Amino acid sequence: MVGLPARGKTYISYKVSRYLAWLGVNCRVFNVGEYRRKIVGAQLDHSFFDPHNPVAIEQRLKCAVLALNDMFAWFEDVHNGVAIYDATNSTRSRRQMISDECRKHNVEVMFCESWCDDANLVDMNILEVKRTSPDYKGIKDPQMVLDDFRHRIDHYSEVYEPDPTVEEYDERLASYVRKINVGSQVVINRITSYLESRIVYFLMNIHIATRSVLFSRHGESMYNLNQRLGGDPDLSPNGRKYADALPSLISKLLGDQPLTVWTSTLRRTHQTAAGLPCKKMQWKALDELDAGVCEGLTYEDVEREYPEEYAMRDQNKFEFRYRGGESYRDVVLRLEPVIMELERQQNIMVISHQAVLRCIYAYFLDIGPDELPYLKIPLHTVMKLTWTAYGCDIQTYKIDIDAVDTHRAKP
Amino acid sequence: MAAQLYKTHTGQLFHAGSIVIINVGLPARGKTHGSRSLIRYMNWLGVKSKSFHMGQYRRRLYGPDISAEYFDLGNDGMTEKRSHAEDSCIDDIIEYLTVGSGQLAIFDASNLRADRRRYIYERFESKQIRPLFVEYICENDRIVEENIRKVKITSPDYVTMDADTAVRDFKARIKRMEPYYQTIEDGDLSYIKLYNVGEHIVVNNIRGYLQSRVVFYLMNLHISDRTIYLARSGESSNEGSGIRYAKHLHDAILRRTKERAAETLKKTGVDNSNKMLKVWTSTHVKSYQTAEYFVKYDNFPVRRRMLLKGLNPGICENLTLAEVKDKFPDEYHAYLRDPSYHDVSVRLEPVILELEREHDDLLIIAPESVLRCIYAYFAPKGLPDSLDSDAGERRVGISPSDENLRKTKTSAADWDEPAAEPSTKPEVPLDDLVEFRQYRQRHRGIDTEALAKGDPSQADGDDGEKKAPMLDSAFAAETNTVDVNKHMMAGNPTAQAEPDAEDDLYQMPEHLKVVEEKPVSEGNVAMASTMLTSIPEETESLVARMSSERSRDNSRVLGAVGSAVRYKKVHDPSERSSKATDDITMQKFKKRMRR
Repeated sequence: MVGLPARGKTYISYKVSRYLAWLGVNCRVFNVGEYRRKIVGAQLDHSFFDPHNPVAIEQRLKCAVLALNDMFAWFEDVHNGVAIYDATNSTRSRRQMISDECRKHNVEVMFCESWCDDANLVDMNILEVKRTSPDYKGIKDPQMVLDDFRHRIDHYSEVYEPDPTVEEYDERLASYVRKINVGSQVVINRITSYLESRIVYFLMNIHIATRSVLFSRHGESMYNLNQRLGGDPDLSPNGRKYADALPSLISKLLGDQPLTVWTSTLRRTHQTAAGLPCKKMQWKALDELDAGVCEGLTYEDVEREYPEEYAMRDQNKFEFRYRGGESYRDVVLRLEPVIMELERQQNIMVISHQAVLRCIYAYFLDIGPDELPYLKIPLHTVMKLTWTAYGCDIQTYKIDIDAVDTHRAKP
Repeated sequence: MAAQLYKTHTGQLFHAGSIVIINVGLPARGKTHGSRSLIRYMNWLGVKSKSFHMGQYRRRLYGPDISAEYFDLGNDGMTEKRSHAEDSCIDDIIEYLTVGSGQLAIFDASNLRADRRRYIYERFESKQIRPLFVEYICENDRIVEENIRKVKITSPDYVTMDADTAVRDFKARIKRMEPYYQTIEDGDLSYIKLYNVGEHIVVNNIRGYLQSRVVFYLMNLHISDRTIYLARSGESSNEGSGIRYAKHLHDAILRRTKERAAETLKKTGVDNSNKMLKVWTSTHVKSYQTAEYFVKYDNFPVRRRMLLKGLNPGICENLTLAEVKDKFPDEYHAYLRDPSYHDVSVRLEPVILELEREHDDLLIIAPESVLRCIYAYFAPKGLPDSLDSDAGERRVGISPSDENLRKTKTSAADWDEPAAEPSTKPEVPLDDLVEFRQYRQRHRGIDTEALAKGDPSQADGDDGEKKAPMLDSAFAAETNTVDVNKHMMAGNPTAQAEPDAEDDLYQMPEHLKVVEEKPVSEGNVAMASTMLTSIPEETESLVARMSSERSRDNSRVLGAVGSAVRYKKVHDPSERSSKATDDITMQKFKKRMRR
């Protein structure tokens, strides 16, 4: 990563690592700031970052090298993976050193720069992120944080040499991506491998504006009452009560922010969303996992008629594919465009089904394929996802209307 | 990344709306090549796309002999003519995207002037079509000259001139346009600037999922001239033949590469003789061993790729189909089901993208299912054609180790996209016609005597294959396959119009001449039935087809057919006679009809 402080580097690092883990690539973030805190301690004021402070410079270099060595050790272990070296790396000489070291260890390097000259965005970032960071623990006054951090940024700016534009030649041979002003412009240079281009593609789609994503299942449906799988039933009376109660909960959560509602193409989700006064879009990709021949049957029926399938499903719920239908793995694959679009958009509410929500949930919270199929997503609950600096925060709001429990625990 | 995109209720994908990509750039920068490849990729994903080439409109309206003044952007006299041609092209695009249910269109022209671009931008915006500008910039003169030699001088405009004069004339044409070239500077527009074929890319204001997929694809594109060879692995049951096949393969490919280089040198003056060859194999042992000769003698890099593994038969891996049927009767039909092809295509997307990225020649040794999917990506036709036509054509009268070698050239002159409607004949530029002719020559007439005797000494195996990509309409492709009885083809005459390099491949060594007649008939049956039920009007993506057909009966037929072929091969190696006499043909016909 390359960029001045408060440009969203760590945020991007963790997001990319989550995306790659979801794709199945070994990924780890090496945050030099963490190393620095361990070695030198937190709670340093901005003078530590002054480029004219020789003691500090040596210590900072030490932290950087330590992180680098740890990274190479990790590569030895995994043989195959992506490491994200999260630091400001603002000078050309530092970047040169990193490239050289990596070449010695047979590691390919791709620089990723986040560039922002909009002062408001930077300030917002500082307040949101740095306020809760361990560097400023105990300091209550946000203004103090802001000032101190601005000084820190100034120190860095003195020596900052951004990746060049087309005209400058020596760093032109490096692979890099540069996001300008949160993605309104992106510069890509010498991206060569498939993995790199996937990462760049992902980077182009994310942004750091604050927004929230809400998830909900459809209201209770007739099939839920009978414990049947799949199908396209209507809502039950309780479900309809939930649909009526939804708009007030949403306006409480979001106020009057603009919201788009995404539903699947099945009836029960439309009926649930009927009361919401927002723009609605239907996605076939959000349809429930296709149970193939088992559509419309209850779990007992399935056990009776397809006993081997029933048993196999319990063995490996993630990979198991219903005859004529899909597996969780298929759902994950077909959700990729939805996830990409979610990353790009502002406020979104997704009204969908249990299996689909499990997959989306797992993506945002970094949950693996073993636990994914057993996540608890109860009916008549709204989950609100907010992005914090280093991950996602989920808050659940249950609406007090009775509903059956459709969760099957791991046998 | 899922190859499958889902249609919304409007029939378009992903609420992305209609997008028009507007090419910008001086001539010989790779615009048309980029457009064609993008269309191919988008169609494979399931997005209905089409490219509209200004040069063709100009030729249609004003004929091939156009005065040099037309290209002089300062010449106001010609402005009206140019605007007229452009406007008619834009009208067609608007029609395609609004009424014609297309989703992505590419306006392939030079579009050098900023004011003209603004006008086009506004015209599209007013129809709710989102414009995306793609500017191709090339600062490397050598690349530009190579481009000119490879592509431009074979175009219909230069049919009458020799290579060097054509190059000079084209360079003059470019020079005349240069002073009017204004690079995109308007920050409001959504644009992508590609420098030096993707070495450096600047992306501005990209909105929407589809636009970012376009950028992603363009990052992986290049314009080097290279050949892709697809081959199956040698047979594993008969050790000797497998190894001999490997050696054959090795020699034939090397010879072909040298020939190709000589041809290109002669035709266009570009020297490709130092081209490297890369070999990709699947992780199966027999694939890797087929590539042995490349490893031992030439030091070509051989890569084993997990992604090139075929359909995963799971626990049925080492059993013959009969055994599968015995042990797992319930799973049997699941084994035959076509969604597994869908898995392969989804899994292959990274391979396809890396294929696009490779600058060197490539030999891919992989199982048949994988090769089919890769071939389906390059062939402009949709899935059933390529799937089943391959099943048939591959196996005519060839030795037991499936020596079919297929070639696909991916230079820019190839792969003209056919018209969407099978009824209208697409306008085929001259260079493509030349290509077609070259392939059609390989189809030799049928000697009635040999037909009666059924002498399989010369197997004209690659005939149908060569025909498949070159047929100029879906209808023709399907009917042609049905009409030609592969058993008749087995009796082709040994006399040839001209000796050809690959013939050695098809010459079977004497001791290996146990010809099995593979039941290509099944392939034809499926073709017939699909021909009757649905003549595909436009190319549907591989996987969209798969998923849409999943629940229909057709899929069962196709699936059953696809692997019944496999089944037969394993199960009945010795029953067939090699004669295509009338009785036997009749028997087969009857059997076929009974199926």
